[in-house]
Amino acid sequence: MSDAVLNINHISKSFGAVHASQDVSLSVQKGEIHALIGPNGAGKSTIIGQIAGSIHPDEGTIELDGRDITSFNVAQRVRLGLGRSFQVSAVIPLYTVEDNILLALLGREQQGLNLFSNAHKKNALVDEINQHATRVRLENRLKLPASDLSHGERRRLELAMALALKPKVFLLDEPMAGLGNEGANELTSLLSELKHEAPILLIEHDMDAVFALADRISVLVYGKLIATGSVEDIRNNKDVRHAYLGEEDEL
Amino acid sequence: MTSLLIEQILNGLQLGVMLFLMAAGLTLVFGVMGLINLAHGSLFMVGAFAAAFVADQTGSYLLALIASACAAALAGVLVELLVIRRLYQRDHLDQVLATFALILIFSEGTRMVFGSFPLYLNIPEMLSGPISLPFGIEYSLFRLVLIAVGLTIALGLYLLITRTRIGIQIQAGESDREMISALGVNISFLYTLVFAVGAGLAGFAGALVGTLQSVEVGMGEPVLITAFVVIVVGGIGSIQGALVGAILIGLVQTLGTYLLPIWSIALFGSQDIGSILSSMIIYILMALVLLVRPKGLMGGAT
Amino acid sequence: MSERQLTFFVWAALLVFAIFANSIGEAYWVTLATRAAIFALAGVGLNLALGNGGMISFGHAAYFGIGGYVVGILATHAQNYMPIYDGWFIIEGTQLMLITWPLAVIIGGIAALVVGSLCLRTDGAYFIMITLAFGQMFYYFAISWGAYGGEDGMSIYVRGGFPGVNTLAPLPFFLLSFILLTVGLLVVRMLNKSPFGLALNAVRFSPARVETVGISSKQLKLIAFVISGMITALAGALFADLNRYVSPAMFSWTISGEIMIFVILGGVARLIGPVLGAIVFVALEETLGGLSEFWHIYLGLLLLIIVLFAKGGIAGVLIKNKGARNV
Repeated sequence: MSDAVLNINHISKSFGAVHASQDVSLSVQKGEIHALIGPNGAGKSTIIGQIAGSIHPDEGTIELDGRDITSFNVAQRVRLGLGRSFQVSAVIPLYTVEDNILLALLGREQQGLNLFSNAHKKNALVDEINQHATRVRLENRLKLPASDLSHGERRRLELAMALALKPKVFLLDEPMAGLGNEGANELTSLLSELKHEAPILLIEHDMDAVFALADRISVLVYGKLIATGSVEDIRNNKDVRHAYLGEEDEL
Repeated sequence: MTSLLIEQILNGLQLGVMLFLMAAGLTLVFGVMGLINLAHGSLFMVGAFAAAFVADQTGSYLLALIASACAAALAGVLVELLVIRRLYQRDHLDQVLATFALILIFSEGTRMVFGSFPLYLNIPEMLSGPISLPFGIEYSLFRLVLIAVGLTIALGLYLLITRTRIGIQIQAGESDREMISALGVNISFLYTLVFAVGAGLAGFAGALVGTLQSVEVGMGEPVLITAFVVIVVGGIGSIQGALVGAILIGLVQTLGTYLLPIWSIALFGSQDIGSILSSMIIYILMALVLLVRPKGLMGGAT
Repeated sequence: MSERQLTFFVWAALLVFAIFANSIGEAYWVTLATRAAIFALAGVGLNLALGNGGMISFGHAAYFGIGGYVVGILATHAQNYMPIYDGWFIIEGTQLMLITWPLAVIIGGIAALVVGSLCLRTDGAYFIMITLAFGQMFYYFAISWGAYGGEDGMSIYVRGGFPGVNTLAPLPFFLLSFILLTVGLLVVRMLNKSPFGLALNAVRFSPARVETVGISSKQLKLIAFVISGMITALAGALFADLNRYVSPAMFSWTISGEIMIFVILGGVARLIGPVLGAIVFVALEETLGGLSEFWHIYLGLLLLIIVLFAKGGIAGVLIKNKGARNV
């Protein structure tokens, strides 16, 4: 397991009578895209929350680069190299695209408590902002407030902010949501490049993208992991077909 | 010595019960409508003034009490329809500012009508004087009646919330506002009702406290702030929390004021430290609760 | 007009007004301007926590009062020649502003650190209630502190001293207050332009987002709260010397409310908002207050109208600005 950048070990979480996560274990290895799929209500958000640090597991541990981060809060985990994007874009509406990305960069550079310098004067960072914006094709929208962006553009900004963190592992929560065909295709090629910079735990509903991108797939149903394997394994897995065809017509 | 202590405990209970009447309304309104209402103290004041006015005009204490609850409830309904309604969807800052504006309007308005000097409500003949309790204690009959009345109201509220249809709606409203609207419950009516009930309780408390002390402009705000301490300590959103918090605060405040100066003289030779501590004790308690259980002793809602 | 223009205009207007008033011999108006400048400073402090940090502190009078009491207590000991502490070393009272101001700021900051740490364990309505309650705690504490006047407060016979300045005269004291106000404005401006400011202003919209870029929103808020308390405490110190009187009333919830009114009236989160609000408030106090002793009712109505219909305050009405961020 020494190639694993992220290790989730036997995570369990209940909310009252609801067992949102039951003994879930998975790993994200160097250079891979590990997709986490499952029908609605399977508990994917709860898993994300526990990995990101906003939800505390009842049992189990989470390791980043071999280090136990289970007791760390969200900001601490980010500083250790966890980069997350939200399913519902949480960009700052009143800030420009530029400032949103700048915020991410400042966070990465641990400048959050810098009271004195001018946030906009860091020249090296200005170049980097352009870089990340260009990667998600927002380089022409830099000066617009995020509230003026279209839904798809906001998803791309969301991703740019995660990119700016240069994390050790990406946690992407439904990045395809709301993107049209063209957008989804672009994102797919971006992600397949990205995995070489840092592995990705990809939560997605868009099955085309999942099958095109994933090196491994884990399937979550009612809080339990029912299968983990390569794309072929999962495609042919009886339990998985049952779980999906029983509830949704996605495969 | 013990009889004095018991008397103070009873006083603490009485203070607690009055605080409960204030806190119940506040926590109901916050729980059901998500609204923080600083003008609650003004409704307390309106009740007191209404009672003093009616008592003066009619000589009947009973009428005065009824008037206090009604006047406050009426003021509550008016305020709800005109101002509060517009605040449910707003953020807390707007609610705080708007209800603070209402405090100014109510306070000055009352001053305009009644002047700046305090009014007095007299304890009715029937309820005045001491009553003999076990252990040879003589306690104010009026205060004892207050405790009884307050506890009865607490019980009544509890039954209302848990046993009646309106009560269920209120509980449901506390957990999921959007849901109950989807279920066809008349939200506007429910909200106005809850607000009016809270106001009526506050007004009634105002009349009772006004009888014990005096009726003057600005009497409501210190009680309001103490009610906030009650809610923080007891846990927001629950009537039980309000009762537990209120009794606890009432006892701590009263016993603190009585005992701390005494201990201070014993320990330090002067009562200064004791007096200062007793003025701060309930806030220290609140700080401790915040450290240990930020959601309040019985909290969990919200 | 743009926000820059409005900021400069209001700032300059206050200065010009005071100088003008002094030149025509209206000492009272100069004192009014000083009052406005001091209230403005208190509001600048609150605005950092409230407008930029999104923390609805309804107990900022605590820091205002602390600033005042630091000056008052030190003055009392200077006046009666009794040292504050007489043990291993002697600490005496003083009325030197160069000493009382930093002390007020430091002690105000410590109080804000303690209170802020406790209050920030909660948020939303709880936070408001708790700040209000702690403010009240200081109020009752001051009332019961017999050694320093209790309910009656303390008198400062002669205004404190500043080297080379005749602080007793209205205009010099105004200028001192105005300079401190300007410093306060510059500090807040610097903070808002810094990385800290970028993150702090983001926390109002999405604390989750800020955490997700690796910045602790709690730390941001606490730092903002402490600095905010320090600025408001400085205003309180000036207020004590202005009136040569300090009392528990400085801690009362009504003062907390008034400071909030300055901020909202002028335009919350705008740099010049508190200054604009304080000037308007003092002007109203003088004019309406002169007409009717019940002028607070009009203040209440005005506030209600602003909250319900003109959220951006006066600045919001005046500024035509498509910018994405504040000054």
